[in-house]
Amino acid sequence: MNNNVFGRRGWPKILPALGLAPALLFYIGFHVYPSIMTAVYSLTQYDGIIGTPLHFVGLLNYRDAFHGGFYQIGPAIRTTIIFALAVTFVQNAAGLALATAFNGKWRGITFYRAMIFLPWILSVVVTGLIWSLMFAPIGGPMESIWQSLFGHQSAFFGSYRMALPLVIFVQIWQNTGFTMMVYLAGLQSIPQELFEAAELDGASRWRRFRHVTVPMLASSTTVNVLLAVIGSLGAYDIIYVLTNGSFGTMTLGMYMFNTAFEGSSQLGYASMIQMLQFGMVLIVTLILQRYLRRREVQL
Amino acid sequence: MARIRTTMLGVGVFALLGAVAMPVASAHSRPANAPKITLTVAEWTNPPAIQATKLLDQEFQRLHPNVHIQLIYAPTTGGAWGSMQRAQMAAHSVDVMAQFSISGNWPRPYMTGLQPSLLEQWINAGQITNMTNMPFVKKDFPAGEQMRLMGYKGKIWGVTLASYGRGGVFYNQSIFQRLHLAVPRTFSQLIHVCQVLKAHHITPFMVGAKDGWDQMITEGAIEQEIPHAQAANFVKGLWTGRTTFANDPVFRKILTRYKMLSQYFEPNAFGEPYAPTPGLFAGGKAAMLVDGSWDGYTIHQANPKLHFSWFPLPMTNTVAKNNMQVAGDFSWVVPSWAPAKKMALQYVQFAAQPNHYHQWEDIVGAIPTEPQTHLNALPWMSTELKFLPHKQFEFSIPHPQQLGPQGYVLGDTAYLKPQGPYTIPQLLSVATQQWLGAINK
Repeated sequence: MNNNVFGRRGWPKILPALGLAPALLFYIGFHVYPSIMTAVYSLTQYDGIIGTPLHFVGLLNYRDAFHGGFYQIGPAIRTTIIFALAVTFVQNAAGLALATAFNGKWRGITFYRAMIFLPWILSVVVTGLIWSLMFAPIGGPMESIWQSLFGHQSAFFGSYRMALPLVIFVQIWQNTGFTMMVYLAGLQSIPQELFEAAELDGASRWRRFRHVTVPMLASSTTVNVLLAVIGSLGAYDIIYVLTNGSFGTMTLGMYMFNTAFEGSSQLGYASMIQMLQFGMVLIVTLILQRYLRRREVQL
Repeated sequence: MARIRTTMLGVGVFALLGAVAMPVASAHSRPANAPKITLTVAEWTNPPAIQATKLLDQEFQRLHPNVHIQLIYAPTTGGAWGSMQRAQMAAHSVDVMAQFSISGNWPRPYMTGLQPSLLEQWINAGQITNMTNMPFVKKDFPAGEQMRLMGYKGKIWGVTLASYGRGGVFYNQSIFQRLHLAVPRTFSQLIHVCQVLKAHHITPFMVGAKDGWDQMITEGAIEQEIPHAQAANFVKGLWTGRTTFANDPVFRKILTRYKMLSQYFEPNAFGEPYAPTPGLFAGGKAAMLVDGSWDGYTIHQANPKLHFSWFPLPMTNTVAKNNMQVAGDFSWVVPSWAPAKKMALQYVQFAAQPNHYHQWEDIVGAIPTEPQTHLNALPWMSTELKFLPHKQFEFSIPHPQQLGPQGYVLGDTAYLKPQGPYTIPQLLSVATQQWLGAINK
């Protein structure tokens, strides 16, 4: 059966294909081709200089990464996992708490929601600058607060104890507004009758939240968790602005960026790191998606 | 009728002569009729160097009215300069480009797996013009100096116009005078200076340690500790595993001295990025600023009334060893495919001519690479000039590729207690493990 509404013969027949072509070409040119070439480059020692040979080395980059180079890539994987776990848990908890708190109809609520959402629309550079100034160890507002609270000074983004937690905090600060909005949309789509019925049955506030709100937010949770995991496993931009990967904040994304674009370009090795990162995101996402979907059905 | 014909003929001859003569005349008076050329010149953001280059550009354009120079620049911070030079080279759209000197920092045969620097990669790809046999390189610069600074594979690939002192400090001369402190010539004297400053509640050192600027202390120290004639052997020892951070006492000595000095940094130095430190020093926040000598102009702009100068940090107790360490810096290179290559080479030659170079140098305030150029001693260069007769060009220690985060001990200052997790022996051991892992992979 031919469903082509433009016609079955002549040029109208190819009209749908023509309409799709620009987007398809764009997708192939800017998504499929770079992805394939990243996989190809990961098997080379390509330096990115046009006109130079790719210099295929097979799996040498992968071997190096888990041999001599493991001193570098091992801590980066560890930092990435810590970063992703902390961001995903805290961001979702904070997003859900805020969504619950701002799911009312009181005066000025839209303004407060907008304020919480605001960091999400700021560029990473602006966010980085704001927090670098806030935590400037000489004259920054947090310096005096920190000293009055804890009685000692801190180098903040230049401290091994503080840098990673602070970078995680900034990442959460920037993205919680979006998480809250997704939860808010989920909350507002829950039929009020369910809450009323639970209330009539004598369910407490906590039980209503636990047994009505949480199950009904399952699909919002799936979306939020997956977005947070994928975003944080690939994060490098905010880290680049805040610490440039120093002081224990070198994630895989940051390590890949530095290898590709700092000093002598090692695009081949950087592509290999990118492939590892891709593998990590793929495995984690597949497992999570399977778990979250099953949970949605159960709930 | 014959008269009219004769007149017409005369007018015709005049017109013909005029038509022939006109282009000749205009070629002398208006050479702008020559084909228009846009010369794209790229350099990183360094205010005095940009000011000096703009002046040079004006003079070059006056001499070549058909040339329009487009000067483009980007800061080295945040990777902007790196991105710009890569983009310009990939697009084949730059004619003259500034580069840092090569300074002998290329992979030796025993440096297995070490990738050359970006400039060396461009040279290997045939994208940079060989300047070895250009007459001005031989005429305007001392024999061998450009080979040392811009030499690679036995050829010269550009000309270095500026070098700077590294491993030193700017110091506030007014504070030193008030406390009767002399410029220290030994490490013990340096510690004494710090103690006196601290006793007077003055922060001795401002240092942008968040960006690793404190490593200038350890790197300057190794340059003073290792006789430069033995540097190649020393580096080879590290690369072959014969010398390690743990087995050569020089590293422990340097880290111990660094740790002593780090007590005199401003509080939370490891949270302080480099960018604001010249301004903070200019504002009187500390008596010394750990920095290279290139930042004099920035400090002067921040506080024109400040009396300051620069001296190399003495990291040993032997005066003769505590020489000023100099690194080649600003160099011009011309891509081999430059759209206006002929004019680009003329531009570089023009810049190297002693009179133009002298003018450029007077603004930039660098250590000149042309012997006939005498420093016009910018106000903040008074102390630095005293150290110049004993300057040494730095040797470099290339790092293996994919080195662990603690793999290069002289760059690991942030990992030392109290700011980091390691004691000196622990750090030496970890760094050795990671270095050996990287060279033996």
